Amino acid sequence: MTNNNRENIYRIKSHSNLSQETVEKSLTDYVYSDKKQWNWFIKLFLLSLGVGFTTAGIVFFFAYNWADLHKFAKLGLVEALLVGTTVSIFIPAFSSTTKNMILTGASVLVGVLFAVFGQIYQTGANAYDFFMGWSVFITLWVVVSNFPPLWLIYIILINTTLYLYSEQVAYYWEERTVFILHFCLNLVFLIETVLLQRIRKEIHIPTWFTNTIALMTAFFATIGIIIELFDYYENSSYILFLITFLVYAFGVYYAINQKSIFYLAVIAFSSIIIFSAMLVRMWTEIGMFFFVCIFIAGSVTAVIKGLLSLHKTWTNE
Amino acid sequence: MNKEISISELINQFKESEGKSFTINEQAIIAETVERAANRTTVAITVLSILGGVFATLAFMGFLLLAVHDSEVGLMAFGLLFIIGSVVLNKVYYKTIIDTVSVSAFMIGFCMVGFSLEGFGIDDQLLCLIFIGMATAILVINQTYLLSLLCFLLIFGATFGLLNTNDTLNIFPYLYMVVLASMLTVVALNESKIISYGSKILKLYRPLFLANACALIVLLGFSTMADSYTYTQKIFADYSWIASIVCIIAVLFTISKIKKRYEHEHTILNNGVIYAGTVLALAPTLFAPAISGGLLLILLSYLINNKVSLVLSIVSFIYFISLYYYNLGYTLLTKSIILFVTGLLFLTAYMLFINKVKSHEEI
Repeated sequence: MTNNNRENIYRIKSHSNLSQETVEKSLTDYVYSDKKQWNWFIKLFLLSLGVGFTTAGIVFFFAYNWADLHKFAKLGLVEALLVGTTVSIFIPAFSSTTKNMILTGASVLVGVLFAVFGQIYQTGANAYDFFMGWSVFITLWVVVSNFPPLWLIYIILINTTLYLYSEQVAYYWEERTVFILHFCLNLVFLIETVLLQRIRKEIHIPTWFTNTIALMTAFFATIGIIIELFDYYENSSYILFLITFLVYAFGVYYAINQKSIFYLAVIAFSSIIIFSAMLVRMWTEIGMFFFVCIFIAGSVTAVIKGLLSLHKTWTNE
Repeated sequence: MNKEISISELINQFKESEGKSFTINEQAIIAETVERAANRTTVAITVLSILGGVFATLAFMGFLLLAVHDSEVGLMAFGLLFIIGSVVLNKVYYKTIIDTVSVSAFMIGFCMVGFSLEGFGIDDQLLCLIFIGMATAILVINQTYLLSLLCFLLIFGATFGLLNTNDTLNIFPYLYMVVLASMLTVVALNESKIISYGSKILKLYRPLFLANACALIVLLGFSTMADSYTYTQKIFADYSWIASIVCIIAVLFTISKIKKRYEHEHTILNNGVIYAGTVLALAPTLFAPAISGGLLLILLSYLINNKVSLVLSIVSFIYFISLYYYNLGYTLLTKSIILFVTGLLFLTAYMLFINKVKSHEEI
């Protein structure tokens, strides 16, 4: 924990006559990124920019309306690129990170292929089936690579497909239904990730990935309930309330078991926002805003007090 | 990740390296360590404190805007009371659990003072100056992390407001960008020197760096709002190139510092290739300082290992690059060629880099 190191150096410095040279040396030794970390960083930086720019270049190339190019030539070109990129994964000299990044680039090319198809046959650039086709045809790569950034792209694609489907085909769906579906969809991914982490211990799932999905799930629950409160107050179905309540209750149980401050903080904050929205909706007097201000400050403080004592207990165990 | 070292190990190391002249108040260090351990926090808790404060302030603003307030004096009195209350609370009773309350009170206080001054008919420039003065005074009295961060953000924000209301030449935002980028570079590269100036400055170092980084990100974001980066239109239209040149020089300077730090082992790439490559890669973005500024932020944040500003810098850098190409006044075909060639250049640099690293490892 480099932050602890920095804090310790600062503390010693403020209570001693430690020389500037020694502070500099200790920061370099224990806090700043070292040579190995810089090598890793530069590699990742250059590779991300390289793959990102090249893929973006290809996307822009096909976005340009080639009137003179025959449709088979257009599709053939993207196909050739796709095959070429995918085959390059078998080069043994590449590390698994490099291969995964190339596969991510190839997954974007699948989207380009569908876009070119859409351009030729005039299916529209934001048709839901474009995103659905894209999602379906990269599924295998996503599963095989198990590369978190690719999984995230995949989850975003499926969410986009669902959103566009509700806009273009199932336009009669109520807004709250769409939010319930988004919430359930992301919840399934979250549960899957959590279960996978427990069952297959050899698979390393980074915390940022599970945290991002947890945040997306809580976002849809919170906004969905606020919409339910303000747009469907008279004929509320309570479905989202009920699911959210059950999920949050289980989430708290899981977080305490797993000693996760993050999940507890997210659930608590989402609940506070939902409750505040409920207060504002039920009592529309001006004074309610004042009360909500006090409520938020008070409840967040109480939650922080609880989280701090839990954190202290867990770190001392 | 750097290895973790306990505070007692560090003290022993320092005693050894500093010799007899080294004096240390170990009792005070132990007392502070015990106190901070009781308040040990996580990023999630800090974010929760800030978000709680922001939402409570928003609710209060809702109340204030809906309620009919006809007393500017009352607003001013209560606003000042809120600010003083939050500062005193932080000064006397500094615990993580009061963060939300003090952040809310602080922000609500400043909003009320702002409304009151507007009501008194004070012009925007004077308002900015008053805010800068108040925030500076609070920094002198109180150096706790969150309030200092808010004070620095207020100072940077009010300075921008001040320059913007004065701007007739459209040059000030870019000059301010120059100041912020240079300041961030100086602050990041001189941490040991700055924290050696005194215990108050030492406490202010981290909030200053983060607030400076946030201010630069926001300002770079403003610069991307230009309609187009077509060179002929922009060349005499504004002064964005001044900011770009300073950011590019700062990037080169930072790279030289990074290289120097590891020179006693061995350098990885030839100096000329690195500097020329960086200048060549950044030259086409001469009228888009967000690109070189974003790169500078990433380098400095990674250099001093500040995770919050690193995440913010990476996210904004991706946004700035996307916007740069989106705004570029060329046809899609030209854009695609530029992007593709740039991508291939980066991939070539990547291959060169891993080969060099491998050959050094073999030696």
